[in-house]
Amino acid sequence: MNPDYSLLIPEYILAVWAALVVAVDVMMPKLRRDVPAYLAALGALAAGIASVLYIDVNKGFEAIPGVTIMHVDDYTTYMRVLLCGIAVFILLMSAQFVRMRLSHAGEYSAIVLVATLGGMLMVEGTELITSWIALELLSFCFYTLVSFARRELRSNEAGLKYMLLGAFSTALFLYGLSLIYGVTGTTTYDGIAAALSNRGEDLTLALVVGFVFIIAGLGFKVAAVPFHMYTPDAYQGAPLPITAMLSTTSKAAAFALFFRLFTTAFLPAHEEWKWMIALIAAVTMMWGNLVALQQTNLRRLFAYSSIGQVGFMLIAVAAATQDAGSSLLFHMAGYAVTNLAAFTIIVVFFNREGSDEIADLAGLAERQPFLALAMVTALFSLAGMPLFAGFFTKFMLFVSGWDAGLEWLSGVAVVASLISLYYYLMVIRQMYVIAPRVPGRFRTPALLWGVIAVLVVGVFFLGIWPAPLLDAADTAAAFLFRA
Amino acid sequence: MDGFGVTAAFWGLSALAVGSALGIMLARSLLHAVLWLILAFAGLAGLFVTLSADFVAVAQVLVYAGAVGVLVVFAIMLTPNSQTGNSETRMVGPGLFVASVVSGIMVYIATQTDWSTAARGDFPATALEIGTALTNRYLLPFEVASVLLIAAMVGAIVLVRAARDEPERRELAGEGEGEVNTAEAAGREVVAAGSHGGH
Amino acid sequence: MFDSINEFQVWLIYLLPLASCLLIAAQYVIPAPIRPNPRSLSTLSILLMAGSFLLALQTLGVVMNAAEPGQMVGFGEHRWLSIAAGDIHLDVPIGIRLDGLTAVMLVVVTAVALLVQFYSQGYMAGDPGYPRYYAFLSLFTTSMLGLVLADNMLMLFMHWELVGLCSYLLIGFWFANPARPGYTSPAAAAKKAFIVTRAGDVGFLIAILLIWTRTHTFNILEIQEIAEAHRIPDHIITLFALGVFAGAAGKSAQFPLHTWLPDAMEGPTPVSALIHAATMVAAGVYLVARLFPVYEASEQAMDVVAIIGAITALVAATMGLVMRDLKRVLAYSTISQLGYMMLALGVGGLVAGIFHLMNHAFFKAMLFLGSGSVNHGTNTFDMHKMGGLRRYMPITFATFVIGSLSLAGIPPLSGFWSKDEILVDAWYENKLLFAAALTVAFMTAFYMFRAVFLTFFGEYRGGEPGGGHGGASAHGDESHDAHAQPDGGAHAPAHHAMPHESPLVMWLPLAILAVPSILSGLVNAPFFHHPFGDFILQSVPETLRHEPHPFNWGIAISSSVLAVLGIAFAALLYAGGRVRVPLSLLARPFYVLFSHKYFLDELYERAIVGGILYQGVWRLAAWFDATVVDGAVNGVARFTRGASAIMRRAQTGSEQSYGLMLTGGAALMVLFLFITALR
Repeated sequence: MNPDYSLLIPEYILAVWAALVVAVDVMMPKLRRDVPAYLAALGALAAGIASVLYIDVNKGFEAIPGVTIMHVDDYTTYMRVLLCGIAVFILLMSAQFVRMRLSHAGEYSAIVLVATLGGMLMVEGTELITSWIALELLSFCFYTLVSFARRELRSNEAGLKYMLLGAFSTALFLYGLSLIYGVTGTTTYDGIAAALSNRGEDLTLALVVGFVFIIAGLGFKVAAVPFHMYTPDAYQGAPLPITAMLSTTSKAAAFALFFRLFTTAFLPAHEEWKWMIALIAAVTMMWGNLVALQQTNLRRLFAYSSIGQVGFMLIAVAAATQDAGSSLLFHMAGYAVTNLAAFTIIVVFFNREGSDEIADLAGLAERQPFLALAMVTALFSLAGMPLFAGFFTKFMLFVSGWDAGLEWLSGVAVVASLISLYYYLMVIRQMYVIAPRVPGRFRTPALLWGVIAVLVVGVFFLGIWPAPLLDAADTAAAFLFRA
Repeated sequence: MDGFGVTAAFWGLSALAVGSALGIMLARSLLHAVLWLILAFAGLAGLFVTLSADFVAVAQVLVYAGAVGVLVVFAIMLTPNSQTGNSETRMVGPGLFVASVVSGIMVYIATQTDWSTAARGDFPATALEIGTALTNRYLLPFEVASVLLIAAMVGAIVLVRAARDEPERRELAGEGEGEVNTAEAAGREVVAAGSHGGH
Repeated sequence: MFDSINEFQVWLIYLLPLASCLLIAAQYVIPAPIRPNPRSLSTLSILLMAGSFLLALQTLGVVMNAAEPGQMVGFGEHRWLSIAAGDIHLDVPIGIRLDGLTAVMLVVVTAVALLVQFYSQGYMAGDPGYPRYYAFLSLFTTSMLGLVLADNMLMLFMHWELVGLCSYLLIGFWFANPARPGYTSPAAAAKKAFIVTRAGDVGFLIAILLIWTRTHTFNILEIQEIAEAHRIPDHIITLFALGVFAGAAGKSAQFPLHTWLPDAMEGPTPVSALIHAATMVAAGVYLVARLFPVYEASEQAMDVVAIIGAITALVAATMGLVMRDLKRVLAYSTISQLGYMMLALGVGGLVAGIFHLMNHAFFKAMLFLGSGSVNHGTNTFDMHKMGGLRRYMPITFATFVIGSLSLAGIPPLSGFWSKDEILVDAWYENKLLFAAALTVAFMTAFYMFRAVFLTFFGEYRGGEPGGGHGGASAHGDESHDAHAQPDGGAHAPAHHAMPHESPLVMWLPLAILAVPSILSGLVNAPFFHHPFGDFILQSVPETLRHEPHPFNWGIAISSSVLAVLGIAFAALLYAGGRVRVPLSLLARPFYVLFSHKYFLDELYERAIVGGILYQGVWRLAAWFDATVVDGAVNGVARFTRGASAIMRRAQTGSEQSYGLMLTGGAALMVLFLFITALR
């Protein structure tokens, strides 16, 4: 019996569309250089729409009977739609940027699509090798994307660092996988779970060390302390839209993989790895938010802020309950919307001013009130103020951690959250209190204005009426815990 | 496959692989390091043979020891201007410490764990098995790997080849001169930051 | 038309004023030169409000036509958000509770709001903040309607706070105006209103949280049922009821939180009519009525409500006796009447309380609008500068007298019927409370007619030249400008020597309000078998639906006689138009006490705030703040920055160190693992 290849239509769309974008770019050299990005955005949109069709489809992709290497379910659908949505926004904010600052416009957009494809496969994978290949697909795309600004040394440096450390972390990850395989004798999630529960209390050290290495490998992808060191350099060096993508697509996909792997395959050994992830979570949120205080560059600030956010999201992985799952998915969406809004604003500013220093934001409220206001919305949401998306999503995360017996971790999270407010306020202060260095107002391009407006509305929507998305996240997470 | 010969081969090849790996680290010249690398690959190939993984062993020799090694040598030869020495680092002490901790743990685990090898039975011929697995069970991951390779190739081309298209920032930004200067200045800062480290 | 109503239509009542607010707010985006005419905006607002009013009437009709008039019309709940985590399951719904009580409140709120908006076209004409004013009024109406419609405590509380915010915005509408001599400035008054009501709201919020932790519901109906069945301990019910009453006391200006309401009179007069007479201040009464079954379940809470109500009614009435400012008289009268309503609820007279609320809304709104009209004609609220206005402003005079008679409780005007019911309820519950209520009835008649005689009889005493009260001028500078007339300069300023009747837009609402002020009492008249009572009682469980007490001729006659006596006494002292205040000569100490508002403001500001708080507690707090708190905060901040700076150094930028840290982290975890595993 052949596997059901129709389950992967969104992936096919992305792959074919990526090839198409490159082809169009090669064959029509006269094309304006922001067109490939718009074209690719259309492809991401198509893939997103195709993904929606899989609502309530719960089917495994059985490579050979009995071996499910991928699973399309509500969890997959939720993440697929989220990833495609992110890709659409990334491509929209890229168009002008690429036109002004990068070469190889077609390849750029195509690789963004392929990265999204990799992310989607990571979410679906229910078998170690498949998930790993998907993870590598995403990583390779990012190695390229980060160093895409070839003329800028910073970008080259960031790309090289990212790639070397990435290879290193992949090695660790693979080592972890081999240990797990050695102990359980299988690579499918179901098989591992069965093997682990059969072993009962008797868990070998090899297994736990395997967990450590897998956590280290995935910790690198999501940028958890102490595996985060590449983050600030990569965030600062990468082309701006790619920085946004690093903080959204890469994190969302890696967390989706992280959560699925640990709550399906490794759940029987929950007690063994719970404390590790909780510890990393605590260190990550404190480290990220504390170091962020010292930053003067907007991108480095966001790098550390995203590290802090990773700490919050790790709470959910440590808790590994259905509530944690739904709040993780919910937080991911809220975080993605907020971060995309913030980065679109930075892109507009950067396109115009060529600077990403916090000090250069001075007086933005006078020069471009809309941008400043939207930025305040995004920052407040990141800080977790009520009425904004971040409040509910964080609140749910903390509560789920609390309920899973990680009271101390939720406490640390609240403290870290308070610290974060400080540096977000510093940015707001620059924009609203300090007089502008360069006088004169400027305009936001209409398309990006629209994009920002949509995202800001999204931030408020999630903050004021989170019920629909929360429902979706709950349905999605329920699937992982159906047993 | 259990006997004195196999055991001796295992230890000998292991020593070769680990020794060459150390050689890579310690070699002063980049070219020497690559030669050590090829030797390490060969040692690994030998180890695969002792583990009855003959196909992997052959692939290791052909692809890594052969093709990759030669490729790296060519790369070094073709870029005479690049720095070929091994730069100083202060990380030797901590690095040694961490490495010994990790390897100690690995050895401990490898020897202490019950790998339940008995339950697995004999190894069949690996070439056939791998072929079947790749076209059957792992067909999809295999396809994904092909996408990965294409993406990596496109990425490599992008990073290396001269562009057909050039950025248009001068026309768009209106204050092109100033911006290019900032970008260049930023680039210069990176050079400085690269050596001292960004904050 | 009155057969059925769908939920959307009911929501529309709420949404129409909101739309008006948003539209007016949105027009500020348009550059100033091409903005729509302020007049067209107010027309739009009034039209939307009228639509809302008509829908409210239809709703009332539907509720009246229900199988059992006043029966609850059920609409489903909508989930707003739901938080499920472990044991906690927090569902926050939004939904409408529609029954007799709601329907009556809807009509009262929309009717008064509509008339006030209409009236404001004249009163606020020419004000630079004219569109802003209408936006605030619309927002207020929306919030008030949301408060009335809410079927759960959380939605109610949100609108409760919104109403408070709107009140703040509208009291401080002329925020740039300086204080009138002897009074607070609008900005300070707004602040005071907000803060004092907040004090009560804290109690309210605590009550909501308390009840949620015990019942896990916000739904009012469910809370009522739980309380009625005593499924939670009685002391919890009492605490909840008292907490809610604290909120209600703040909003409804009950003793001792009443001090903000007189100062709130610094806002525009139509605002006083809408917010501080008819609707918002009645929200507290509504809230207690809405949760009436809860109060019925707690004896102590009922007693507290009744006693506080009685004290408020008495204290405020005595202060009303001596005010010189017409609006202040009305303000104290409002407080006193709100106390009356609370008293009614406290003695179990749900129907009487709501009945009085409705009647009071109409005639008190009319009285306030009348005082606005007087101000429009004379530019002052000081009664000593008025007099003889009945000749110049006949319509205002007629309506004001009708309102005063109704308030005084002269049969057969509306105020008589509801006041009588309250007295009867008090009589059967507690004779002492009854005596207090009767005293208040006398004083009410007296002070209202003192105002009537001082204002409308005798000779005109000159008024005030130009915008003394700053009628329509928003900015400090302009408020001294004699040219800033409330009616926007429709009349030349020189003609202000003599007062004049207000324009049609202003007297028409007065005339319209006169109708319910005369007639609305009949809806619960004994000889019609109390239809209103049956209607309202549908909102509470069956066990609480008492038969109305029979009409008591003795009480009716004695209260009417007392009211007439009060009027006569006022006529005796003031009818000649004498400005001298003989009462003050008769009872000097009382006069001082009353006119200084029992020295409560002084007590709050000097003794409590100045003496105890500032000298003692605040000094201590300041010291604590400066040394302990600041020290701790600075210490934490310094520590945080220090830690941050140290951690930052880890980011060296060198690839090797990154790799080392990566592996080192993993190694450390494994090492830790070993140590714990080998233990």
